[in-house]
Amino acid sequence: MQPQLLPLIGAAAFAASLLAQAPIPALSDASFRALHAQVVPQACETWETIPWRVDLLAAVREAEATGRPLFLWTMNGHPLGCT
Amino acid sequence: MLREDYVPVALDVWYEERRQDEAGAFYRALVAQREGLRAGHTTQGFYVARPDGHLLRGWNNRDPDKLARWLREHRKASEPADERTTAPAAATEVDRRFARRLPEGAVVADVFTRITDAEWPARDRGWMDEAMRKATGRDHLWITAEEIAALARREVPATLARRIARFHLVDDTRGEPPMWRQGELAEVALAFEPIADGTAPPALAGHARLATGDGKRRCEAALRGEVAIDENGRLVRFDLVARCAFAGEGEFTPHAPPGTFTLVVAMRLAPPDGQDRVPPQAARDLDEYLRAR
Repeated sequence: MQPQLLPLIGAAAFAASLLAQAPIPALSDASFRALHAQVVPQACETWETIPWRVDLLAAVREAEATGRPLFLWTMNGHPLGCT
Repeated sequence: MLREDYVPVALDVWYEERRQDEAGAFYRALVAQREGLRAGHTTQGFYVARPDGHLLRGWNNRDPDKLARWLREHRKASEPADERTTAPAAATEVDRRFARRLPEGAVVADVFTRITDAEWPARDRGWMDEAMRKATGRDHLWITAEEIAALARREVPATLARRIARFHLVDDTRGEPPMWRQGELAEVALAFEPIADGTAPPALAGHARLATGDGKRRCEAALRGEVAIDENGRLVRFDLVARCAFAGEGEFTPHAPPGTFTLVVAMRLAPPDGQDRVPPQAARDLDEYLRAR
């Protein structure tokens, strides 16, 4: 067997093993409701109560007009979304 | 203090570092003043600056005491600058390559992620471990007008099912997660259940399997949800849960629990609080996000 075929065969076998796996247990209606209530925050955290601006230039103009400094919170991935 | 004494801004550096417009130039000139910032390294962090672009302090440290101390120190420091250096013009041309706008007629769902069951190793990083293990990941799901019309017909579009699987069944509780590539989606099924009676909201059920080629990162998810559309065709409810048997981590999401752990992804329609203006993480590649092949 040619060595370069081995990775392809391995990948195909792995994909086939995925599809051959046992069925995923379904979520019951009760579990759905319980998990939704558990994971969706029921109250805002402190940082969420801050009126964050997401438009930098609009924020700069607001800072100029009100005489306040800018506070930037910057992340790889939006701080208010996926970080 | 942030509300009254500052104009607080939250930004994704991926966009700000790249955009070739006034906002991008302002951002880059501002962060370049940060002491110790190395070229080619991330500019993420905290910055206090005057509106003319003069940096008063910049740092990349999550110590809450340091944050509070420096916010107190600088809150009165916004005297007018001696000379304007990098202040942007009022009207500017936006670099459309890095502008993300919700498609016409689309709606936004909040996406929350949490590890609910895991065999965590002994703690070794103090408060960081404590915070990360209890953390809730956050993102947004965009549902297009065409997809809403299909949901109204009790059909789940393949684009929506694949988008949920590839871009939202991810472990973002410790940082930026790797999204699933097209070939890593082995299977996704999401459909309306038969109507049991006329009183319950229409229920969705399904499952998904995803894995990297080497099998080091994988996800098997059971999905269930409820959808409601009003008489005007507006999506007024989109509650969805994915219970994932998850394994593995990404380059920017280290310290996952060893072995398989339970990751729960829960969605609901976003309230109109402004944070829904933040695009989905995977919308950096907008075409791929929407087409979700």
